[in-house]
Amino acid sequence: MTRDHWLGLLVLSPSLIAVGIFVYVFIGWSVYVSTIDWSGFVPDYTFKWLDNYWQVATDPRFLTDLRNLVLFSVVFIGQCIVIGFILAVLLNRHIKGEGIFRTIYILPFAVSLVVTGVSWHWLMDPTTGINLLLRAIGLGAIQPSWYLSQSWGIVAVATANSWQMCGYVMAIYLAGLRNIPTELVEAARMDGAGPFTIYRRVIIPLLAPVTVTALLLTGMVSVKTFDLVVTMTGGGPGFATDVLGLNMYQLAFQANLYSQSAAVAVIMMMIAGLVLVPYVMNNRRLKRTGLG
Amino acid sequence: MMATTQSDHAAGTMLRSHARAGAVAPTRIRPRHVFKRLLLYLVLLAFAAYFLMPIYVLVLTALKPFSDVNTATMWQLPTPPTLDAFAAAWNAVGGSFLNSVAIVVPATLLATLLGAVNGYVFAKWRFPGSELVFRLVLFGMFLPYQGLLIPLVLTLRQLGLFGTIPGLIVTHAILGIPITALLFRSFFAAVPDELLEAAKLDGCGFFRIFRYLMLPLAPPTIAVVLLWQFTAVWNDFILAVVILNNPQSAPITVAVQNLAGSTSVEWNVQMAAALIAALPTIVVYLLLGKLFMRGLLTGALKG
Amino acid sequence: MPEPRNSILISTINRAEGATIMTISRRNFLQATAAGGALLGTSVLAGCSASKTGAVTAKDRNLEIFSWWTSGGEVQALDALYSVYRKQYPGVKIANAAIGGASGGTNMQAVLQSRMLGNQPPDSFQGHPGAEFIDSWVKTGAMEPLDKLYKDEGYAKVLPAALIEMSSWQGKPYSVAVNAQRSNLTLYNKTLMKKVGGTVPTTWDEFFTLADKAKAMGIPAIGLAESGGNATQCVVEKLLLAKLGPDGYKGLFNGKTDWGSQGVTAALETAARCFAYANPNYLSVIGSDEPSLVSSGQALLILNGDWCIGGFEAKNFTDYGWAPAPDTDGMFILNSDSFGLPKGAPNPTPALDWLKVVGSKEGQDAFNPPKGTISPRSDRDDSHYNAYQHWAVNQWETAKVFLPTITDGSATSTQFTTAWANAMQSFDVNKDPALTQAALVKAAQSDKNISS
Repeated sequence: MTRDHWLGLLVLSPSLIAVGIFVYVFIGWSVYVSTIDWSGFVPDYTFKWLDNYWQVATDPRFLTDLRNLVLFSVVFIGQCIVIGFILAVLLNRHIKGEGIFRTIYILPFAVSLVVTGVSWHWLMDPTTGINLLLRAIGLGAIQPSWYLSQSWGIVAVATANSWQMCGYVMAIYLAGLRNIPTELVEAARMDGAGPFTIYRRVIIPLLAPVTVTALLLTGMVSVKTFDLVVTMTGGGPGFATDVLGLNMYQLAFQANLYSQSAAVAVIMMMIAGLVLVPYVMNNRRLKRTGLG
Repeated sequence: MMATTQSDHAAGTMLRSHARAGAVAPTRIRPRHVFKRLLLYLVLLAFAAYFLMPIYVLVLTALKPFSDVNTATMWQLPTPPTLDAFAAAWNAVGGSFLNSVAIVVPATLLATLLGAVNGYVFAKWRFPGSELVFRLVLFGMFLPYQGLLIPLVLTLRQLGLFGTIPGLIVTHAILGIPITALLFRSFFAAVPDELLEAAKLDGCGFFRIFRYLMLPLAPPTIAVVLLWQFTAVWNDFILAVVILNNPQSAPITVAVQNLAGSTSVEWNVQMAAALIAALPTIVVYLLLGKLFMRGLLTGALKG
Repeated sequence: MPEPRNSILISTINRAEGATIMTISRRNFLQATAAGGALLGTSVLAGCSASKTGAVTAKDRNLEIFSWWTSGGEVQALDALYSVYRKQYPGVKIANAAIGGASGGTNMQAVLQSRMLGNQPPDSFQGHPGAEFIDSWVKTGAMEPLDKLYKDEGYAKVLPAALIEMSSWQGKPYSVAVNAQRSNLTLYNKTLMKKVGGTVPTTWDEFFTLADKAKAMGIPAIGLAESGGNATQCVVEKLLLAKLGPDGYKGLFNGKTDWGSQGVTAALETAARCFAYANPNYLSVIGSDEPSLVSSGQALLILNGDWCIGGFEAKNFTDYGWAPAPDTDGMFILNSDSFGLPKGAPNPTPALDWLKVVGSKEGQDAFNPPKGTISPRSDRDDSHYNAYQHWAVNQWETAKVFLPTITDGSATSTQFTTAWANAMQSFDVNKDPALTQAALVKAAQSDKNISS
């Protein structure tokens, strides 16, 4: 390690200390709280170990939360990345008014999730909103129940969230595309590659780091989703669109079952850890190709 | 030297190939070309409609008098449109603008700066264990806000930062580090190591390389990071409301939230307020858009 | 430090098309730095000016009041109370830390609990008196007893014993009520009622006859708003009272009445019948929009409390009528907003003065007219009360019995209330009385108050 490497470590250290406190001490606190009996305003410090986890996991609501997490993640992440990439590719051609389109696509990102929730709540109300539009243009036969669907309500919520975030994913893909040296693309074209092949063999692999970043960011939003669910469905109907974040919040601030709430938090972090594992593996592969 | 010749060669080839393409049957190519462009614009417009649809509903609602606000009539144009809701909203939330600025700008700049140097270190100055440390920092971004409210209050109290704007700024900055570091690291990692080697040979050290090599190449990434951080901090509600205990210093999100009553919500005023609150973010987006200009980086990355 | 001009690196980049780009980048970079610096400077200035009126330090923070009254008549009422306070105790700076959202809003609760648990309590906060308040804050030793205040102010002479009892624990009161609200009301749209050709139902049988008539005309009889709302909870609560009677109802909270008993079954079965007469979009109507169901004619009536009248006034709707909920005449399910004194409040003396104002005749007479509720004091001045408020006063004075509300946390602990709310949320969808009753029985078994 050279002097500059030590310098790097020094530069890093204040952030590491800060993150150490604000993240890891807090995580440690959550883990500790999840093992005691804090179900009121005075904690009872007797250890209950995994009791709280058991209580949380055996609540049927928890199973719905997990199912919703999977559905939400697949739909939300899928939509964001696919639509974000397509929009970036389309905008990367010489477009008249690129600035206007780019601004429109990222406009939803400026709207807070709370407002997004309310407006999509109206839009996806089965008796009005989009269904009203469909009736008006003669497609009245198609009247999905959107977020009131017992099985697929969460898909509606995920779609609303992806509406909000697609523009940002597009932005990072656009930045990535603009980083690709045109010489590489030209060289491939010289070699006789058609547009699809160029994308498949040259551009998408070069954008792998951006895709990984997009996956991480959208994955993070999926695990932590809360504001949107509260304002769009409140977890309803019944608990069909309930999510871990909402469960955790209500356990703490509505039922005052702080230990169980902490248990849900720890479970959320463990799931997040699972998400990071593919990133670790992926990164090793990228390093081998010299792109990590 | 080699690189220069290569680029000259490529540029020349490009020009020649364009000329060649243009010389071959131009009339046969054009209609298909026009059709493709038309299709392209149609697709872009369709997406634009999709992304604007909910905002259209918001704007429409904000222009209606409260008596007309009804989910059954949400698509109908207001007759006549009125700016009363906007006036009422401005009265309620306008005063909080400066507060939000005072919180968001330092928090964003701090998190971006820290993210940039941290990302730089993680990408180019790996030390034993730096990958693990980076993973651990990254893990921090998955911590749910609801879970840290109580220990946050306790910690800020200990540090004497509870109830202060700097306390809120520091909290936002620290919570933003994992994401900003991630974004910068993934960008810096893409800068070829050969360029660093060349700079080191030239006698450039840690800070020189950062200032003269990394930063000039970073504007789109900086834009993307600023986009995220600014939006996240500007739209934050729960941290502001827990940490700040003086309504005079509350940011605009709190003022917007407080428009909601328990037995009735004046949706038109609420939506008008939300639109007003979103304006600065949109302005920031417009300003940052310049950094996405095509050609900013063409030719800067060689070899 | 001068830029290394002779490096291969820089010359590489400087040549070819890169030259202008690099210069632009450098220029852009400088511009960006300048802009960033300017922004930072502005925000520091803004921060300084904000912090002058900003972060309230212990020195100049005089009185911090927490509530969820942020809009409409509620905030007017709160301001009236502040005016009375300022008149009586000039020189005290009041920090109105109100946080919006639904009643006892989860936002406000999150902030309040974080503050209390983080040892940074406000000087006083709004809450509903009763089991939740006692369980959450009093039993855990977070509140100061107010028996001396009650004696000094002579509350026992002007307040009904039931209200004082609800605010007390082990004989000592811990909160002061500023108003009295009634939960068990029927609020209806007069024009629609005339159209259906009926009168407001006084019994549940009458309700269903009326509902059938309305249904034949395509009018939903009962309005429910269940997207984040508590309409179903309110309906079931009133049915419990109707089917079990006051003593049976009270017994639910101390173990005397079994949650698995016939009366509860009857209540839930009746409630299940109501869904058929509710507005068809009840699952997607947002909770705070419930009053607008009546004011916009989407439903004939709602079974809720008198705070909904504020929702009517906000829409300039005056064509409403009221009556006690079916089969509950003479019974007053009491809900009230009250304030207490947290231990370790930063400013105990102004906080105590605040409680005095809150409980005083002058304070309550200023607060209640804009709020639309009534003062619980028998020496109230009702000259500014509207038609409903006069009726409410009469009901208050002639009520045979006062009862706590489950929905708003007066009757049971937070754990039970949450389980109750969750059970009702599922009930909206499964419409199954047996399932719901089982959930309630389970919740009762794990509640210390009920099952011990």
